[in-house]
Amino acid sequence: MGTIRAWWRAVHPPPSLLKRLEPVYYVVIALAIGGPFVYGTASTALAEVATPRAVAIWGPSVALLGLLALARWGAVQGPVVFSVADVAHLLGAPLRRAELTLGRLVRSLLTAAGGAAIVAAVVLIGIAGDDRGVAVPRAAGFIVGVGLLGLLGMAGASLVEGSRQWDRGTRRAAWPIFAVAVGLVVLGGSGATGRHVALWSGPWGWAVLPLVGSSGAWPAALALLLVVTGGALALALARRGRCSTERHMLRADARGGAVAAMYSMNARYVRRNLTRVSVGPVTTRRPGLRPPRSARLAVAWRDAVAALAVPQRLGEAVVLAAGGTLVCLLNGSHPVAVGVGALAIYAGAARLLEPLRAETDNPSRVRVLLRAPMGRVLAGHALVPALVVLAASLAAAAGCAVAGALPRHGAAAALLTVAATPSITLCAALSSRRGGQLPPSVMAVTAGDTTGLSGALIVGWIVAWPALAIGFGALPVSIIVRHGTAALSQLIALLVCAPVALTTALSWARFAP
Amino acid sequence: MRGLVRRYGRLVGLDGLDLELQAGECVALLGANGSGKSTAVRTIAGLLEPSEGSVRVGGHDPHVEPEAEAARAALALVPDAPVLYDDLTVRQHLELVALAHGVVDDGVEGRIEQLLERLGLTARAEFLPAELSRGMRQKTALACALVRPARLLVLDEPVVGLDPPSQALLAELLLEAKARGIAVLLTTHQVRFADGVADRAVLLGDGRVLDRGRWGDVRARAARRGWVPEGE
Repeated sequence: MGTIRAWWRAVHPPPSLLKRLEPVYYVVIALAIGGPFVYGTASTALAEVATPRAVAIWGPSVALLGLLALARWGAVQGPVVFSVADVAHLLGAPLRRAELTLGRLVRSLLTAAGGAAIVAAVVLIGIAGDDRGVAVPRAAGFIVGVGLLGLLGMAGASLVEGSRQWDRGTRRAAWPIFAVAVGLVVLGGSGATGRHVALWSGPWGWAVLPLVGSSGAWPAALALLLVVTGGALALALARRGRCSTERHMLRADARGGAVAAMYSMNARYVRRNLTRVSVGPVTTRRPGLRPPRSARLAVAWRDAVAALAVPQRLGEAVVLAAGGTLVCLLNGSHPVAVGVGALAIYAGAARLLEPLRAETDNPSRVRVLLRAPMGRVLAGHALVPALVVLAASLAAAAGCAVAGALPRHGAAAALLTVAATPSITLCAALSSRRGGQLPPSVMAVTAGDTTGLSGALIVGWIVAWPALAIGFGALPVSIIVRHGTAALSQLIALLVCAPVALTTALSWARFAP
Repeated sequence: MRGLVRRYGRLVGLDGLDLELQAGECVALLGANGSGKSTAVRTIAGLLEPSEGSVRVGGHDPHVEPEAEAARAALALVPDAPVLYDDLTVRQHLELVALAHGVVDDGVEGRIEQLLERLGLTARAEFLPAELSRGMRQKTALACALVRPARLLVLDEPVVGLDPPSQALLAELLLEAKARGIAVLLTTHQVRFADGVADRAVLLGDGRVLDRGRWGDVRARAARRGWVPEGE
């Protein structure tokens, strides 16, 4: 390996030390100029969100989800990724895989630890804001704890990358872990005992303990975290180089495709490239659904077949829609929570819109296979997701009513939440129709802009439909819960008319021949 | 290889392939598109993991580390689409492959020159892959496989993109490799090319072995079935 590295350095000399330090110089200069101002603003803004109480309640849950996300990163890329040419020439040579992968693995581990420590430092800015302050040992303990959590996550990613079993196991565990994360929040908010249990439930809680635990407890938690991380790290290092060539090749191909898609700013193709690497999200089956006799139902039949062929996706859509409805109704007086609930319903609908996205991937298919215009086909694709989401939302609202957990003006709030689901689904369809790509018109407007407005325009373009969906889901319920049922009829009229307008907008979709 | 099976979800790409190659012999894998030729080659080369069965290259499993190192040392692969570094010249590719395979003796530069000349790449030795035609890239990939020692040479559709003189040269190189005791496994649709080099053939269909035997016999039976055009 040493001779190859030396040869490579001779062929492609690395940049000089000064050149490599250039980014550090720019960061230092930028921090020196804008640092105090940014710190002040961030401190004030974060101090409202990142409070000690919020960290105690949400911290373990967020840390657990971060850990899961980092470990699942190993299913699509992971810490050790080669180029396609590397796979052909270096992995095809009789070189020690353990030696070939070590440098990349160590770099990724350090990056994860460093990144996590930076996130911890940002959270600390908020915690210490509002004149609260944090003792230096606790702050250092928190940064070390979260840094260790980053290491643990990347070690997990390495194990997932190298083994089908780990990949499959973490994929199957994803939803249960999500449920545990929700449970941790509930526990954290339930009182001192629940919070104590949540904080001591695992590494995700131990990392947070330096900020919210008692002075005697957090060093013990940190020691436990150190032991667990050390174990995971030792396992990852021992198993390095065992990843099969096939898995390396899949990742190399996916990275090439994803980078190309990024250059063309196509988020959907980035996702498609990355997700095809994993051992397969679901086991597909062939549902015995007979084709309809009416041509009008052809698209709906195709969507029903697609939904039943991937039961996991259908299940996720139902859970998200029902969960979103519950969040809206159980927290009707908190607009932010209602917005989060609406966003969950939106995500549920989006899970079932894959056939619509497939049409926009290849519009010529519609022209060849179907007689209807593209826009009408896309509108047809929204029917099944709308019905599934509506049914799930209705069931959740009914469950809430039976349990007597509806908020003030509960019947009206439930009616409005359920009535908003078609509009939310159509917003998801209108967003999916865009194919995850910035249109030429937005690119043209933003090209060459130096004012910074182009960034806002791009962000606005990306979040426009989810934001509208949140509006449809959150505003009517919030108005009813806060101000009574006086505006109920107008709100119902709005939620009846909105789907018509949105369907019309969806039907206008045209794609260049 | 024994009982080699490779599944892609529900699809069976290769269904129980048994094959043994002797030193200095050439076996051609024949079959229509999707018959499992490339799956077989990629599984043997360690690029695909077998669902069942086993592969041994020089007695070593190419799918189990660190045993696979010895298998990789014994096997040279020429893939159907040449995979090259964007930022290395033709000569640098050969230098890197030689180095990665431990070919560091004094004669390596001479061998690289000789190979470049033989394959008509001397004039383009300092070119990057982007500056080369498909055929030239294919020749570079072939040169990468030949610059290093190997006991088994595996070629997936090696004549695609090569002009007739280059195809003749490739056949000549393969015959020389056979004469040096190197076993050759190739997949091809061009039976005329295989006529000159193959000793045995395996005809695949839907991942299963439809026929196997001496090259001439399999070719004749395949022609009678209409798989090989009469004129070929």
